[in-house]
Order: sequence, then structure tokens, then C-alpha cells
Amino acid sequence: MNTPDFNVCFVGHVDHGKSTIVGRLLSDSGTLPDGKIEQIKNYCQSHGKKFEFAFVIDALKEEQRQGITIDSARVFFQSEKRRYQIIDAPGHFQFLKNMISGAARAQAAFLVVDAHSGFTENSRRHASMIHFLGVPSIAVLINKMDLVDYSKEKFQILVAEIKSYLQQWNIHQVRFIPVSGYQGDQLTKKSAQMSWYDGPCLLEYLDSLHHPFEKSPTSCFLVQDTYQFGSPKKIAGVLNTGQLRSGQTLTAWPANIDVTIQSLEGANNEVGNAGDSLALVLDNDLPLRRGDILTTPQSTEFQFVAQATAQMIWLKAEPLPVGKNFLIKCGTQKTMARIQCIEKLVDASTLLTQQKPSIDKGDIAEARIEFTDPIVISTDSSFELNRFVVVDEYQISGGGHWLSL
Amino acid sequence: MNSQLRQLENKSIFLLREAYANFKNLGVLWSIGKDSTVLLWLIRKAFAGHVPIPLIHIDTSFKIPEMIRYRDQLAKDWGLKLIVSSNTEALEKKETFPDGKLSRMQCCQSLKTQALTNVIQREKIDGIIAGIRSDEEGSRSKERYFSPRTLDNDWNIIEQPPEFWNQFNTDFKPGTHVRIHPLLDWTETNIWEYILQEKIPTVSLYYDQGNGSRYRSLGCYPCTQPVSSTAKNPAEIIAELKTGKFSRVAERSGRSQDSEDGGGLESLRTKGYM
Repeated sequence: MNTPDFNVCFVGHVDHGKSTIVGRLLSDSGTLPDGKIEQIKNYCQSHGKKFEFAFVIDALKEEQRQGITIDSARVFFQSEKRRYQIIDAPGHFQFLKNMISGAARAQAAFLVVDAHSGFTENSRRHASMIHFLGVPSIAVLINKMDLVDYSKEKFQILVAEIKSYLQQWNIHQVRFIPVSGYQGDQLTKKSAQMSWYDGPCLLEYLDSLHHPFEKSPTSCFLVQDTYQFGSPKKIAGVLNTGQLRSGQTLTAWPANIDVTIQSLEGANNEVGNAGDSLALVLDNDLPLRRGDILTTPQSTEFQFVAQATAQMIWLKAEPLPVGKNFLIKCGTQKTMARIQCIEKLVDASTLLTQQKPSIDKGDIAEARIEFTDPIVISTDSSFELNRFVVVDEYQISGGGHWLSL
Repeated sequence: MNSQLRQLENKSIFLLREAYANFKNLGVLWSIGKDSTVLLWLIRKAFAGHVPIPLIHIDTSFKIPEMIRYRDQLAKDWGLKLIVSSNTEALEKKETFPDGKLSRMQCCQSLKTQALTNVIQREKIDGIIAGIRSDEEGSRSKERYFSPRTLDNDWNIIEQPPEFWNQFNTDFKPGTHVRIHPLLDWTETNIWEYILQEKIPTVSLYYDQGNGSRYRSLGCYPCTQPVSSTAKNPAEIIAELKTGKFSRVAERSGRSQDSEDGGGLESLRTKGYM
């Protein structure tokens, strides 16, 4: 088990069978503890319900009562190749924020589409959200193939329809896999029912995926805090991209002063790699604080600005109007901000551009945002500083990426 | 270092530092068990060998005596600030499960949740760091890293705020608090692999002392049963978990409160249990 976990999420419309696929995958691969299936069968019997594999992960009482997934669950699954964290996201539009919380952590996403009821409005919305979140690999599972007699024609018609939608979001290179979660077809092994399909089963496909490549050689270190528990002072933070070694010179933002690393502390005290939590000792007693950023000198990927254009989503039922003040968190920076104007607003299900004075829940908007205090951003998606969240009434309520200055 | 453990360690330290930077009055729940002891180890790594956050031990008075001895020894060795909290009123009136007055779940609610609520209010704590893991139980698999609680300490499980792109809900209404879960991505096996790798001192109850039994999960003695096992050290425990007798048996199978009411732990947790 010497490889990092790979996070995979299942999204799609309610009742298209995400939880059943995940429950069946766990069961067929021998991941569940002994007695788990019997325990669920007993529960179903005593509550007058039909047994469903979905109950393996729809663990909340309210979920079992309503027969739906409410919040994203994370469960572990070990294949011969590596360990997966499987995230089963809820399908209801009402629980969009829970779907986002789950899907944003994924390195690969499966969009589950019911072969019988087709590519619905909500399926489209989920596809657009996965793309918006920047999930590196996307595949489509055409589920419930047993309900359409494992028909190749039915599969091909749906594939063509979904492909043309995804192309409008510039999503190409998508794998389509016909499956039946209920029957267990094409999940952990090839199904005899669909000999016309010559691609990989779900598990083979998963094991063939690679971890996303190293994002950028430019070092970008986000300062979380400074500690003075004793001497010397330590600068604590996370290395988002690149590498760090002692002796290396970095530029501190926004002060625009160069500093040199005297020593570093982390999983490895010689070299810090992308993703490492580190504590640095610097040669210069610069008054650094949370929100400051250390980067490779003269890097052109970052800008210190008072406004920028973003592509953003909104997750609250109450719309976000132009001019309303909210808090933005970008890396470890924070500032108050507001929308100056909405430049473009796309309805994710119809792909029609709309003119509105506010952003509704589930919309994907391009908006001009101005900050009360300038912050450091990047328009390059390799960096954490490309992304932000919006905090409204004490809660994260939206987010986006910077498109242009 | 095992790259999976390195990934987990980095994330947990990142979360601990986010908590420390954003909250004024943190507390760490230390149950003396393996998970919260790993948490304590990670805190020392995150803060340059220091533990700048007080530890809270909820003492039900029914803990196995060896746990209390180990707690006091480690607190002394590592110079820990320890807050011990009990529901003394209930204990004086003997309103407990072992005294036959309450069901197991009512007893957990009273001796643990109520004692925790009391200490949160008394110490004005705004962030509680807890070592729960998502692979332990269904409702824990649906948790956030930063999970807001209501004024009454309740967890609104259906209306959790979103959390994505390494940004967390660190803003909260006055009077409410946030639960912080740095170990959510760790499994039971990861915990033992890390204990082995880092040589973390753990309470001897986890190891067979020669009578062929040991504890897999620790709690109050009236409600926690040892398992039959001859594992004498972390390496033998890992072998048991990966391929041996426990590879397909749930960790908390020896904890009685979980099985009450067809979802006992979830019911307890929506009312403030850890």
C-alpha cells in the first residue's frame, strides 16, 4: 500500500443508481465486513423494505427512510493496484452543496446515467459541475442496462446524446461503460450479457487511471501561520506546487521582498514537495503573516490585484445579487468583496445564456469581482490561488476560479 | 516514509494549523485511545514539538483503570495541559447504565455528551478537535473536516454547509462551536501503520498480555468487550487487520452502544456525541 489514495466520485441524477453501483462494487469485491449484508437485510425486513445494495452506504437513518442519498459518504475500497476513497454524492438538486463537497475532492468522476430514463436535466447539471470543479478524469456509466435488455443500440443513442452535450463544455476523451449496478454487470468483471462491448469494466478502467501529473515547477508556498514557541520563529504553511530546499531564495508576496530558507521541517527535512505541510526558518525577520505567499522569484503566474473576472457558482437557495458584500477566501487569504457586474450566465441544463441581476443556485456565471483589500491570485489552474470560495452568513456558499485580470 | 501515510500526515497537519489559525479557544478530545493519541502526536508535529491546545478527557468514571494511569503518565512526560470533565451530578446520583438506572445510550448521552457540553460552555470553547475516522461508522463517513454545531450542541446532519478546495467553514455564529476532524481520511490500518512507523506510545490494553485477548477499540468497561487475539505489538495488529482474523470484522463490533436503535451512534452524534 505504498501509493497515495485515489479519490473517485459517483455523481448523477437521483435514482439513476449511484449508491447501488457503489454498494455492489464494495460487496462484489469483498470489501465489506462479514455480516454487513445480513445486517442490512435484517434491517430491511424489520422495516418492511426491499433489500438494496444502496443501504450499504446510505447509512443515515433519514437516507434509509427516504430511500435517497443526502450527503456524500466516503468509503474505502482496495483493488489489487491501490486504495480508493469512493465518494458517493447525492443526486437531488436540493443537496447540490453536498454533491460539490464530495466531488471537489475527486481525481476521477463517474457520471451515472440511467439507460431507461435517459440524460436528464439534472444529469446535465452534474456533468457541468464536475467540469467546473476541475475533476481531472470523467467517465460515464450507462446504468440499468438490464432494464433495456442490454441493448447496444440504446447504449449508442445515449452515448451520442451525452457526447454532444459534453463537447459544448469542451469535455472530450470520455469513456462510456454500460453497466448494471443491480445485477452487478461490468463492475468488477466483464459481463457475458454485453459481449458487444469491448472496453474495460468499471474496475479495470479505474485501475488504468493515473494520478494527475505534477502541476507546475514554480514553487508556491501558502503561509498559514507563524509560530514563536521558542526561537527561531517558524513560518508554517503548505507547499502548493514545486519544491523547496534550504538555501533556496523566494519572493514574499505582497511585500515583494526576497527571503532565503535557512531550514525546513516536514515529512522530509531535506526537501519539501508539492502537498507537504512545512515549517520554514528564514534568514530575514520579515513580519510575515497568514495570507502571505512565498514563490519562486520573478514568477509571472501570480498577480496582486484589486479586482478580477471569475467563473463562479452559487450554492444557496437565496440568490447572490450584484453589489452584495461577502467574504472571499483564496488560499490562506481573506478579503471582503462584491460583484460589480455579471458578464455571462449560463443555465447548466439548457446551456442558454441568460441576463439576470443575481446568481441563482446551480448557475455557472462569469462575474467581475472587486475586493476591499487587494489579494494575490493566479489565472493558471495549476495553482491553489486560482480558486476561491465565497463565505456568506458564516457559511461557504459558493466558489469559483479566476479567469482574467 | 510510506507515501499513503505521508499524504495523510500532511493533510492532518494542514487541518490542525488551519484550526489553530482560525479559532481562539480550541480543545482536543483525548480519549486515551489509539486515534486521539495519533492526533496528539500530529499536534506535536504541527506545532514544532509543542502542544499549544488543552486536551479534554471526558471521564465517565467507568474507564479501564489502565487508561487513567497511561493518561496521567503521558500528560506528565509531554507536559500536557489536561482538562478532565465528568458529569458529577449524574455520577453522584448513580444515574448510569452500570447502576441500572439508564439504557446504554442514555448513559453515553449523560456521562459523555453532557460532560462535553458542560466543558465547552465552562471553558468557552469555540473549536473541538476530535480524532474520529470516516471508516468507523456510517454517520462518521458523512462528516465534514470542519463541522459546525448549533447553540444546543446539535449536529444538523441534513443541512451541512459545503466544504471544498481546501477551504473550510471557520466562521461561526457567536455561541456556537465547530467540530474539527483531522483524521477523517485515516483507516484503522493507517492508524496502526503510523503508530508503528513513528513508535508512538500506546496504552497496553491494545496488546495481548499472554491471556489471548486484547481490546481493539477502547471505551467504558461495562460496554466494551475485548477480542480474542494474540497480537502483541502494532506489527502483529496490522497483519491481523490486513489479512488475518479481523480483515473482515468491523472495528466497533465490541462497542455495545452502536447497535441499539438500528443506528445508535448516529442518534448519539446528532445530539453532540463525538
